[in-house]
Amino acid sequence: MSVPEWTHMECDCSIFNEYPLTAENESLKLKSLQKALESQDTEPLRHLVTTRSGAVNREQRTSVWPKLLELDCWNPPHPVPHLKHKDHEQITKDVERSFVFYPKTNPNEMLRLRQRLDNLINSTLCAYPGLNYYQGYHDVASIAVLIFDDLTAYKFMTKLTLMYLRDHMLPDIESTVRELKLIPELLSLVDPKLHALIGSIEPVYALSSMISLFAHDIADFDGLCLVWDFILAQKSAVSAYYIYVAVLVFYKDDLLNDLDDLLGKSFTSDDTLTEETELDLSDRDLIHVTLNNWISHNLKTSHLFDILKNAMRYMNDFPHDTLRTMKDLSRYSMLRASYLDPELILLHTREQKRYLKRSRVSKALVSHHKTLSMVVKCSIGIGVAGLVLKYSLASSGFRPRHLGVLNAASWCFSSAHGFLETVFNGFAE
Amino acid sequence: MSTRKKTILKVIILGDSGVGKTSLMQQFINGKFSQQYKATIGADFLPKDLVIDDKQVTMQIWDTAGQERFQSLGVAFYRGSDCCVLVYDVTNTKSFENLQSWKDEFLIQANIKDPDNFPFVVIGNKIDVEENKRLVSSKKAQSLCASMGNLPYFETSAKEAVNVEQAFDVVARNALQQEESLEFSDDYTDAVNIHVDGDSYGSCGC
Repeated sequence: MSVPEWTHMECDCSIFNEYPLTAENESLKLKSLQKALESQDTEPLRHLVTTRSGAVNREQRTSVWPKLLELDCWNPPHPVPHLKHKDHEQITKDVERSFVFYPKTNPNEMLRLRQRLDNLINSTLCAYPGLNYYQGYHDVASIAVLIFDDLTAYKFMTKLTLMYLRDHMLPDIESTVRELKLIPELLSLVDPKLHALIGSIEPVYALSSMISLFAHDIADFDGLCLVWDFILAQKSAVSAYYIYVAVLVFYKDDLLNDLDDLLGKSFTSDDTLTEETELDLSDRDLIHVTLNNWISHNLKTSHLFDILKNAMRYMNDFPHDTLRTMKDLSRYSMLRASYLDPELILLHTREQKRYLKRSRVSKALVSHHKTLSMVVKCSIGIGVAGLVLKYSLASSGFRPRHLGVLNAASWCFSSAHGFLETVFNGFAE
Repeated sequence: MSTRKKTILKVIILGDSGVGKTSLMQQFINGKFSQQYKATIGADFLPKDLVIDDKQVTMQIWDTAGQERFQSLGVAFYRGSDCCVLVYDVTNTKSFENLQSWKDEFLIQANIKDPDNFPFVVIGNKIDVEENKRLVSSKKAQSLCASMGNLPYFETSAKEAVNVEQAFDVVARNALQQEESLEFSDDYTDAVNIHVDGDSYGSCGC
């Protein structure tokens, strides 16, 4: 179905992108949102929420976000009241320190919000087998608590979890770490000079933003909602990575200035940034921390629209399916699988376990290479000695009393082989 | 080579989720306490300039995530540490029992060359709670610290600023001692390995 003319025209003319939005245009936008919500097709709505001020306000979002996630045809299992997830102890600890940035409210209301958050997290994680809780998930769920009633929050979180978060919920953090590598790769395409400076830093600095869809780091509720309008409109968690890179590039000058001061070098002059920019351990630590705190300390809501526009441009110029990092991800990953099914969590978990077992074996082999190479050398040595013995016996005429020597040689060979096998199996455990 | 910069002491705080790692760091660096710190995800540090026996140093205190699933990320941050602070909560027995595994994991991830002589400091936090809520006794903690290699032990309250300064003073002194001993051995290895410095970055997994 094509985009109806009324939205298409308005988006292209960008009357909703003017800043500040006039009262007249805002009321027009609210009407357009209403129309888009009534439409069967979600495309007009996706266009509309990526214009400036996104879905406008909380009231709109209570209906816009479910529509963007297509919740009308989403039927999760019925939530079981008071059921606790296996990770409930960690959940309790994090719920106790939730709603730190917002809302500013009285202790009773806070207690009620936290109770709702606790129920929401436990029921969502119990909805599908194989989901593990991680710190940061509570930041995501707290947004759902603030926007929706309990039942819609549950529907919203079950689908959001499967579509946008499930890769972070396997028993191990390995798949998250792989996905984070999208950041340096994207940066190398979008801004090679900035990449020359920070491309070799482990992208763990982006961890909290990526696993919480920015909820852990953006302290302004309206700003965060704007980012979520955009992410939900894109139908994929990969959009979060593009936004992250767009933030870094948008603040590049400030970032380089800060790093100049911290590291006592000049990265702001163009010729300093080359592919060979050398960094020692303490430089790398300082860069990590600067990036780690960049969003929470420096991102301004008034810049978000330009940042999101840039992110959209990068998504068009460098589509995610052309990125090298994508090939390293599991085919069951939320960024790669072409369909949505809770079974994918279990398939992905199984694959990850196999991978981790293999990598443990190869690591162990590397660290024990001295012992192993000695065993292999001994086996070969004994084998060669056996052969030499055999040929020298054959040439000098075989005598039965040498049979014992031959047997001993073959016993040595097979026991060396057996030992080797035991060692390998030991590593696999 | 290593004298071109001022001395940086890298200190890592480890321990179970919710034992008060962020609070201890904030109390020591900024002298304040809040009931409302976000859960720490990943790793972050705050710097503090100190003078130890007339020597100017900058202590970098690294605050880390307590949830076990984030532990494997430690390798990115633990390298080059000069001291490790192991924190438990005196009202939480499990956090006390996990001290040994935090220590072992740190030694593996940080790739410490001489584990027997690496400085650790143990902190039992939240002593401001009522006596009946306390589940780990001083005696028990002291005996564990003795068995873990005579580790210095402090009981603190980040909330009421009890003993925090004293604990970090020992952390700083031990870190400085470690840094100075490393500086010596670094210079030595630099002289030996001077030619292999070039392209080995990123490929050295063994």
